[in-house]
Amino acid sequence: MYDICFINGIEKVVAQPGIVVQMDLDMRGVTGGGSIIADMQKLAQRFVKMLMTEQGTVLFRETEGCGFMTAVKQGRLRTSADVSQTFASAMMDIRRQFSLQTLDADTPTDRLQNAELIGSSINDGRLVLSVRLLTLAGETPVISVSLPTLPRR
Amino acid sequence: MIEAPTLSELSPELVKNTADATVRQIVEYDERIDSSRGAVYDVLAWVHSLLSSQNSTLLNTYLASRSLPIIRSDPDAADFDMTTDVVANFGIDRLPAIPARGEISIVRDTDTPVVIPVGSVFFSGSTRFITDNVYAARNDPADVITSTDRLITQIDTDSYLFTITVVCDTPGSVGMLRENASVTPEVVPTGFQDAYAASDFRNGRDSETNEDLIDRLEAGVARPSFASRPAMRAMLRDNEAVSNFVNDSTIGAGDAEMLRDKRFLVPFGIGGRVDWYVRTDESAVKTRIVVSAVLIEKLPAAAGVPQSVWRFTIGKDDAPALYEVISITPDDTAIVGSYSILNESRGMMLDDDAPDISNVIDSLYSRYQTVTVEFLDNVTDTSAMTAGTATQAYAVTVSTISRLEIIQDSYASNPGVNHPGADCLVRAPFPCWVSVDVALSRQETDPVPDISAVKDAIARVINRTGFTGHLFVSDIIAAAYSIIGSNAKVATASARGRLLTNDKQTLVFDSTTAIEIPYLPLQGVSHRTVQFFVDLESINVSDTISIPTTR
Repeated sequence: MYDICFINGIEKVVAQPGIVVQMDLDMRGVTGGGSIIADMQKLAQRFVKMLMTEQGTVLFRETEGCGFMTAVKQGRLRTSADVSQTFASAMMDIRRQFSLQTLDADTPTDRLQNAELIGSSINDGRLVLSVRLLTLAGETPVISVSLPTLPRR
Repeated sequence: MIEAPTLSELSPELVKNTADATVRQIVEYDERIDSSRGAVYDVLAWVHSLLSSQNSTLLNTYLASRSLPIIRSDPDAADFDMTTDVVANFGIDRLPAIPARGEISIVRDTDTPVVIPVGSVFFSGSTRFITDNVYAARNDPADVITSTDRLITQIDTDSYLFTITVVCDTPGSVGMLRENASVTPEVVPTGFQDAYAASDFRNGRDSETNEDLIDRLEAGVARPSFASRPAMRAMLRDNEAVSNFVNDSTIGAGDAEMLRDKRFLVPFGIGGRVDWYVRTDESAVKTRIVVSAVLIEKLPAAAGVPQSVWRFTIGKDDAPALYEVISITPDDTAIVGSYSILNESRGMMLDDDAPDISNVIDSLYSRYQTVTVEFLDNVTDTSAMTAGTATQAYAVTVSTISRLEIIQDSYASNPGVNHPGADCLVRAPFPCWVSVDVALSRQETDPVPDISAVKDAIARVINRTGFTGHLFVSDIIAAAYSIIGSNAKVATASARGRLLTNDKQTLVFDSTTAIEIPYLPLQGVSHRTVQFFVDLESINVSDTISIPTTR
């Protein structure tokens, strides 16, 4: 089953190790939006959306999302240790939600086994995360997410 | 003007059902689309369903409010403002909420003068009451000059009392404090000991509900006049002062309860008389009045306690439609309980515009009724007083039905309005005082029921029972279930009633099924003249954990 791309770069996610796909969360210069995605691209998009969704912000689905963006907005992420700790905490919510959303028809590639933070940096008001996803099929795509840590005017 | 609901006001079920319906349509287009999560469901369908649900809710509210029959069929579903607009087309405006007002007694340990500024706040729970004037409490009667000067009265050793008037901050019945209800000042006056409602608060009224508004419109279709029962009811609804009356019943020609048209040479009713029973308040109103009593008799002291018999009369304008004298206490000293009432007799005081009233039975519970009471005072030392001439002030708490004098004076006795061929006497219904016992039973794991809300619901159903002569315990049980839902069970329920006939017989009822008012028209008692009254203190709701928990 396929989904629709709404995050730039997701359509480039591949399983090959060593290829890091840069996500463009600023939604400027949209190129891949609206295209068809499947398998690990679909999985990566769901993961990024869940990581970026603040819990309590989706009307009538208040348990959706995690606390990662709340920590970013509150300025609590100052060191790599802060990022690791917050990411680990967020993963507890993300794993639970992926588990709840699993369908019988899902292929092993559709199923998230784990996600590992393999690097992070905070420079010039931007937080860059490198995350390695692990699907049940054993694929390990790596994605890089860059987002501002300072509020924009 | 209907306003669209905010997104958070939408029904979660409606939003979810709309989202599910949306993705079903998408899947019909291409079944390979992942429709249960991801971009299609979370971003596209969910946001679409929020906006679509907002539109459909708005449209449904409009459809539920667009005509009188539709509003009548489900008044709760109709939009508040649009119903106001629809009914306004017929020249009827929705009655706004009115804040309750009343007197607060403030007790301090000193009699030094104090000023309570305008805007001073008192709390009863979370409800705020505010002074509408600057009140100056004075300890010298000579200093009490204006209506906002209040005399400080000693009520006990080191306890001094004065009263002020407050208005509820929130319009509606929420501010209708009962007598003696505790209040807390935001800024505590010097020497403060206590503050409480001096008597039942009055005037507080909620904004008319859609149902009330439609009722009033339908009643208003009949031209307000004495032409028929609906027309008389329309007169009440037409007068803002009494438009929130609870029930009414009209006794006229041919009714066995009508006694005033049977006092002539021929032994049958000749008509031309109307007894209009109007219940203007859900609960009987407790009011505190100060009376001047005359010393009637000095009795020998009993075990060193002085004893004397005093008498006072409550005039027709002091407490119109008085039901009962509840307590008598000294005006300036606090005592526990009340002096014993030895004798109570009803009288009448007529004026030029009064209807045909020949005896005290005719005037019972009307604005022409007077009440004379003799009581035993076992506190006052009367050794230096002379029986027959000595007087003393007493505080008397009475229960009444309010505003009947407005109906009598404005309509029934007003030559410009009343029926030229009939004379009409406005009366408070014969009260059947009800007490209720309800036992709730639940499992240990069930949430604790809101006993206060259960009592409110029971009081509401009893006090709104029409002139049917029947109070069903099943209605009381249903009222309890409306609050507790499935979280508890009503194990037992019973109701007792006490009713005084016009010849002073007391009828007592006790039932687990229904209180049924007997048909005794010559004694003033029938389903057309009696109303059930209950106050919260007379409703006993127990909560026990007696149902075993399922394993």
